[in-house]
Amino acid sequence: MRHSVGLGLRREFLSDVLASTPAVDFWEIAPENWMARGYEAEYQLDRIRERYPVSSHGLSLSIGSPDPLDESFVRQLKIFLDRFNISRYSEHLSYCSANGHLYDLLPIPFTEHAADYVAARVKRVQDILERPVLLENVSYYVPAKTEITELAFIQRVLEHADCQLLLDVNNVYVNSVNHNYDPFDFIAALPSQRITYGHIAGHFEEASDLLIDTHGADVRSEVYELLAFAYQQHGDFPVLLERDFNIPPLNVLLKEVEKVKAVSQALA
Amino acid sequence: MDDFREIQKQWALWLRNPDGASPPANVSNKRLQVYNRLVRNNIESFVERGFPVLAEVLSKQQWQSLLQAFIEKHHSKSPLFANIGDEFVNFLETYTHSQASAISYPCFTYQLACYERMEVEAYHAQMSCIPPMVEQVECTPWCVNPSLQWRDFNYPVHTIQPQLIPNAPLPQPIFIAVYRVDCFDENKQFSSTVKFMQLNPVTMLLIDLLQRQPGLSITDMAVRLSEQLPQFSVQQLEQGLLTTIPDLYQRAMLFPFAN
Ligand SMILES: [Fe+2]
Repeated sequence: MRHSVGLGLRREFLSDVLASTPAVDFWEIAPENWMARGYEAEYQLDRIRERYPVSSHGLSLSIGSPDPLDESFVRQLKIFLDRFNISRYSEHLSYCSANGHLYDLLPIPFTEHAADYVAARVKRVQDILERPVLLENVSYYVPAKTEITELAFIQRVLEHADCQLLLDVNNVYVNSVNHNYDPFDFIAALPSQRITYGHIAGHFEEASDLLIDTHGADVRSEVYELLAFAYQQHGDFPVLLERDFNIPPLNVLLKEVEKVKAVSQALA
Repeated sequence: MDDFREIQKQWALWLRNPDGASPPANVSNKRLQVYNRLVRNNIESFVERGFPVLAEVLSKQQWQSLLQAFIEKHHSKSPLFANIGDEFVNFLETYTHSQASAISYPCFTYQLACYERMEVEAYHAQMSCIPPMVEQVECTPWCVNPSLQWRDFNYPVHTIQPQLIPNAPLPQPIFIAVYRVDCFDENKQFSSTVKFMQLNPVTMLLIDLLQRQPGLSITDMAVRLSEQLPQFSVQQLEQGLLTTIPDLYQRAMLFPFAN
């Protein structure tokens, strides 16, 4: 079986991708980094799109925000996704605005009420986009409230919104250290049928009990183990390698993509 | 109001003003500080990249307090990171003119920020800005490069640097146009350059006219401009335009109009 492994597309190496057309199964982009960025951005994305499948991973939808859902933004997003014919749209189970944007991902309080509120907004977004929304389990450094567990919160949102999960195994690992739980138990408890996409990335160890989800380092072996475990538990799903800081040359990243691929092939 | 939303609003209040607002209850301060750091570093790096000259000419204290005030007082509406700079300019427009701050900022702060933002917006203009060929200057209908923006300034914002800081407004405002020129280089790679140009008042009128009414020929323009410049005859204006228009076309500020 051939597992699909993609790489986060960055402007830092975009011209190398266009020049050398490396063998990558798909690329992932953040629509917010390409919308309203001028003619050159559209031109480049068209060239990428001619040669590769592209997934999208939003940053600013702020699905859990106390502010009203920005429907005009969601409609712009639809125009963008349609324009580049991108069907997979994922976002963070998080929020980044409250009385205006703060441009960083914050943890939604884990309450039943919050989960239902998020689920209703996800449905609305799916209606406007005419696409499924995949929600990603996010990393966090301190919970805002734990009326229910993080796991129960995620499960409730997925069920009530009837949506899919983007399983980020690095985020599970980071959270398991930061909040002292077993990452294997956590992954095993997630609903297999909803896991349709995965992320893997590197993190930074600020203290032995505090990992920061930087996407700025190589993937750690513990995280590869979690990916292998997730495949055993839930079957195959496409995985994307994220790298957003300390970006090495493209050929170095492509080697890491191969390592991710080897994890899934070892199990096949 | 739902309980969970109250918690979120408390987080946001504290993140905007960690020295003034009370932190969310029952949350480890050490961990909260991680969020404070992430939010601040992220916004600051976007603003710093968008306004390098302003960041350089303000004192460290002025710059830091301006960033703090932006995070605290401005409620950014745009979800796009590319628009954080626009949000910052909107914030400066009222903030630097108000008495809200204990620290004073140079009188040119807002206008310099506008000028630096125009460069970014020229890059972000959606249309292609490859100058098309022109056969005959005299009978061509004209339009303005779609990325071109202009503004009047009371300070020589295009020359401001740490050693060249104006302390009073200019006797007359100046007009500066910012625009982008695209091309495919010899390797067929797309490339863009942003250009700046100080314009005299008559050229400014011309650009403004063509932006409002694209598709005018030189003769049309001479007739329209003579309404605003009664001291010149239509013939004089037409003569002048016959040298000005090719020059502006050479600079890729004007394009032949195609509808
Ligand atoms: Fe992720």
